[in-house]
Amino acid sequence: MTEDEIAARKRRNWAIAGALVLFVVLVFTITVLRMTANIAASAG
Amino acid sequence: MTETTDKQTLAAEPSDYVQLLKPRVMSLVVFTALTGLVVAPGEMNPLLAAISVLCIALGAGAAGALNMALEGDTDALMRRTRGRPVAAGRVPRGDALAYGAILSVASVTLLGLGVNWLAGGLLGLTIVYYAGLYTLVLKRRTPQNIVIGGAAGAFPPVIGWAAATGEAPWQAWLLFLIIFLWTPPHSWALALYSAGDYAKAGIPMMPVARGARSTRLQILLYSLVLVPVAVLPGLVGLGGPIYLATSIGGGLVFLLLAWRLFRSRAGDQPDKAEAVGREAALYDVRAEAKSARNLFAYSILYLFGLFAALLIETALL
Repeated sequence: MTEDEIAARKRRNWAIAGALVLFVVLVFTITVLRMTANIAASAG
Repeated sequence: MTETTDKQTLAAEPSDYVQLLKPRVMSLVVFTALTGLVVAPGEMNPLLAAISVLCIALGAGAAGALNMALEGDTDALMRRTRGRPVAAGRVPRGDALAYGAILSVASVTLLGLGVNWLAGGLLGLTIVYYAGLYTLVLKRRTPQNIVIGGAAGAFPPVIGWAAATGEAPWQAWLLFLIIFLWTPPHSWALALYSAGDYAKAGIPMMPVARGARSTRLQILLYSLVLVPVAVLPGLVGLGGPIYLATSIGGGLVFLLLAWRLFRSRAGDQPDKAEAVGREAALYDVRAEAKSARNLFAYSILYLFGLFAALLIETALL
């Protein structure tokens, strides 16, 4: 692999890491929102 | 994996994967989906609304990636599309397919689990419709490709509405109808000055299959139906005076440009814009095709104006 290719791979890896973090945050946020709504509904 | 594919994978940049999502199309999808979501009655948690729009955007992007993966060979033959990541050989076809498939499953699942399954199901249907029915079946077989396939681009406001309410009433389908009727004049205006490219790629767009004169007439006929339909949201309570003024004033300009195009000779001669750059080719055209270019450019502004008026009136007033 050339230096440019190694640099491009590193940038792709960072992009994949960012996407995975975003996905985890999304799932966590959705879970919290749904649980909050369901608890509020069952309490009401 | 072949040696070529290995080399392609090594050279790909993250920006290539962003380009696979068709960001320009995605921006219109986000805008119309957001309008559907905001115009729908009732309140929605703002965070959940933002997640809904993000899922819809990702789903639209996934459909774009699948489309580019499946059309890499024909994209490579056309000036407007030959710089796309798969067509230009920067991203392997298989990688683009996998990328589109993963994003499709993720966006539909998140929207279904997080918001509701009507919205998730409609998003899934949109992706299958665009990547499957339009790209694989219609595009290379019939000049009506953009008419039927255009429905894929019309779903976002319905998905937005469904995300907000869990329902898809006729008012949401009225927004669908506006984009559905807008797509043929918009796409055919572009096709009138890119017909040479479509012919080279073997795609039977209307100017290639039926000729420029018939295309100009059909653009005018669709415009005559589109403009009154676009006024309807202002008459049934979806939009107020700002929407009515925008749809009537904007519609009259649309009709004027469609009439000028009909009276022009746009598309009568093959385009000679070979020397024009890929991006510039969208707008730099020969003199007799300028009326087609004008309608194409204005049609984007018109649709944006309609949905912006709805959004502003509902959200701010």
